[in-house]
Amino acid sequence: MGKPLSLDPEFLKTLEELTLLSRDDLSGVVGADHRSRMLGPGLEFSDYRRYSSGDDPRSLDWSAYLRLGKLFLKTYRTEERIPIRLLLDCSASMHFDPAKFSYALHLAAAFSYLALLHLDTVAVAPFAAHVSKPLVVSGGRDVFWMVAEFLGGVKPGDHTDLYFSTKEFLARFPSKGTVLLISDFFDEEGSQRAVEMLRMAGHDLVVLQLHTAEEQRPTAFGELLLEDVETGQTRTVEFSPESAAAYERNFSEFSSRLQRLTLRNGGRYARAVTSLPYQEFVLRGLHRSRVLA
Amino acid sequence: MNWTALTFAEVAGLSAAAVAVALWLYLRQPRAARLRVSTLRFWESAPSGSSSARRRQLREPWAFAAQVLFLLLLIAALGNPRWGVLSQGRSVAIVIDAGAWSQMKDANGVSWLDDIRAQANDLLRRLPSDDRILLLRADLYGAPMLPFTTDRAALRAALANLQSSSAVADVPRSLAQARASLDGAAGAQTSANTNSPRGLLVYIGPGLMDEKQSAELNAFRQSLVADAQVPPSSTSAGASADSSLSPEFLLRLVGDTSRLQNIGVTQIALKRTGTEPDEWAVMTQLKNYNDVPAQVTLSLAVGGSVFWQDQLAIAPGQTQNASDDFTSRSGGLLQATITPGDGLMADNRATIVLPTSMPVSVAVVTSRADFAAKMRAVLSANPYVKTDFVRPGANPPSTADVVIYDGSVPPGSSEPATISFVPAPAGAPEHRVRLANWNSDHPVTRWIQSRDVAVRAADSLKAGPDDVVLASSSGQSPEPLILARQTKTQRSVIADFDPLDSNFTEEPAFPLLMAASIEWMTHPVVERGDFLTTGSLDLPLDLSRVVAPSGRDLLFAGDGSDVHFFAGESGLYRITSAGQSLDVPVNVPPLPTIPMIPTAAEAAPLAPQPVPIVQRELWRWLVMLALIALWLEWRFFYFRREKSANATVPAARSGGRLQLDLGERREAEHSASGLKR
Repeated sequence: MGKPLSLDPEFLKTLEELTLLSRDDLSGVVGADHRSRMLGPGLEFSDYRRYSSGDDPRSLDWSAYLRLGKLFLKTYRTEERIPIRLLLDCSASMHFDPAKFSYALHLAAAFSYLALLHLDTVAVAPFAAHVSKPLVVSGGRDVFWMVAEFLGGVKPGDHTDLYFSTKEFLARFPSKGTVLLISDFFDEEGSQRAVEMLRMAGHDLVVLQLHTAEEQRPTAFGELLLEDVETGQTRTVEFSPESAAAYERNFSEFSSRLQRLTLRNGGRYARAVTSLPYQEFVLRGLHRSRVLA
Repeated sequence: MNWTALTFAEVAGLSAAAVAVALWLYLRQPRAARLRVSTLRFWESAPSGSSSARRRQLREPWAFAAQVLFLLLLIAALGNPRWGVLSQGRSVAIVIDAGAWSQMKDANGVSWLDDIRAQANDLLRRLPSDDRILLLRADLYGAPMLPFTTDRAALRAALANLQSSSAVADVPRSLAQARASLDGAAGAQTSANTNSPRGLLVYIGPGLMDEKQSAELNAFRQSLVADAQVPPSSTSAGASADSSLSPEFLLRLVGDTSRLQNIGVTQIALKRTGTEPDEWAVMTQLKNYNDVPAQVTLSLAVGGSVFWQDQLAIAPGQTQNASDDFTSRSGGLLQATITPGDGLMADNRATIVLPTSMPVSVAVVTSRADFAAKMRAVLSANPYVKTDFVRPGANPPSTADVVIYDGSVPPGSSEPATISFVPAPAGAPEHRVRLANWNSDHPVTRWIQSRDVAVRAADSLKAGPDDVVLASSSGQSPEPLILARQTKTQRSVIADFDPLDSNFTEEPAFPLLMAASIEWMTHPVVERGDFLTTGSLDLPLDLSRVVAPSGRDLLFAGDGSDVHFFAGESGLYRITSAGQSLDVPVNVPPLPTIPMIPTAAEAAPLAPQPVPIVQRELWRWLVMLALIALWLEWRFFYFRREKSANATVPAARSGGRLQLDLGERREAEHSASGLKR
């Protein structure tokens, strides 16, 4: 077990003013802060309806009966507890730059804290070639320490197989919920199938693409001997300013494809560069991309 | 266009080397840098770096072209090219005759030297500004006052500082040296591939020479004419024909040399009379350089006291001698002065050193009358020797400089100089030997030779370490017969025989031996005074310093015993020799009087010269263009790279602050319309 991950207390205080948005057709366990389409026990009045046999007589509006001579039943909105699942990429490409993996851990911690703050159930599932043993916690912010300790112990490595990992994840968590997929998505084929599978399973998907500035725009020029940190493959290239322009074009098209894939499957998409502080990304970037409100 | 700092070949060579280095740097491929990346998918469009053909491809051709242009312009600027035909003007040698005649003053009190300066400055004013001028003095071995220069201010300053000397100018020699300098300058210009116009040689001065110089000048003129007639194609290979082109020769004479109003002392001869050691005969020679008779008063003085004065009438162009006998024991400077003064004051006075009379006191200790008679006969021939005769047992006079003993020197004798003749003891066997082997290296016997001189040797001499054998017996085993012995306080000559018991006293070698011995033990006797004149001087001295009358230290050359220096001023030279200072008077020599007769060509005014072409230096423009080329290279190589990098992915520069464009945002908002809190 590694050193527990720590978040800035001021940042945590700021998170208390935010809410993780989720699709309104999701249903979960009653008892959390999320408004639901489901009517039932709750504190917020919703509507009246005619009494039918079998209804709870405790919900009858006796005042209406005295005025109108008919039985009406008061209905209330149910506050649900929605499961929040974090799929965290721990492959070697995420640890290409230690700051990148740290960035991902802090994002996962922030989302976990936010979910616990609203009494949701949080599941953190690290993955690379397959899903590691996940952490499932609920019970409010008091159990956040468990998440922090879990994230502090996550070790990066291995190659990415997002398709296989998603299959494992869906087998383990079949119920609908909000899934935050944090990865660099360099396994593009796996990413496409994973997003489609999650949509098919009815999950509310949030895709967070994470990369470094160097991955977006390399600064090394000349003859380069490149080594893929995941596969170990090497390639010698002559990298010139023209090549850099083509590289950036490729990267931009890759990001656009991922974004279109996510939106086409009803998900939400945000991209973070590690050069931007994760606090600012959470407070501003995710707000603008309608992940947080 | 002319390259002044580098030749065209050097510029081309440097340019080729620089371009080659630049090309190599541009083509050079550094070793591939190892780089770990998170994925290779985005690098697919990058060209492979393993192709050797790719290696040799110029990646930045425009930047390379700009750098080559920068290098070429920079090297060209280093070559200091100039626009236009390079013409350095003529080489001009001006020979300034500031010899003794230049001190001559005209009736208005203006010296000829001022006229020389005016003529030279006028010539400088008329010469084109790009003419390179060499200033030579005609009276100092043709020594250059200034090397070839176009700096007119320096030339005028040199002329302003010009002073007359009292030496006689060697005009032909100076002209020959000037021509050699012009030939050298023309050769240098030819080697520099520049136009070398005909040189100009100008003499400025009074133009008075002696017969020898006049003949040499004529020969010089003939050589100029002969060289001018030689066609360029007939010159020897190697140097260009221009270098042998004879210079134009001009004469600029100053002063009225037809009437030289000057009477000068040309010689003082001083000699002992031979009867008394302090009696001298002086002969003074005057010369009237004018074409009219002159009458002057000649005064002779020693130490400032006039002892002789007379009026002399001198015919035009003639010399007049005046003689006198006088007695002086103290010595000093003998000065001859003529009055009244004339246009040239320097030769109105002449000085010579009058040696001090220092008689030698000799005491002869003998009991034999015939020995005393022989010695009296020998010593009385020398008027500087005063002789006393003392009998053995009596003390010789304490003032005696030399004591001559007839027999051995008595023990305890403290005389500083002794001559002793040691006879064979009575009853000793007869041992006659022939006196021979005179030592020609010793000052006592340097000039002595003898024929058949047989002496009866006493066999008492043993040569010690301080002894020098002056003469010995002839034969296979020579025995020393005369020794010279020198210690720190004493000098002595010892003869191992009785001169009366031989025929030695009948030979000339005997009085020579006595005189030389006395001189070696005391001091040499100066018989005459030397009249020194300006010019090259050779003195038999070991000098350490020579100070001219003006106070300047003179350079001199010496070999330990003789010294040579050039005396340009008349007056007293202070000479330091062996820790002692002595004054050496140097006088004006007899002056030459044959005037130069310039030809029409030599007296012609300065021929007009074409206006020098002002060349435009290009190096500043080349440096500016090179800087522009450097900026272009930077722009092509770096700025373009930055620009392309920035223009490719503008959205990437947002740094992830907002990754959704408007269309995507609308789609996202549409999707988020069903979101709940």
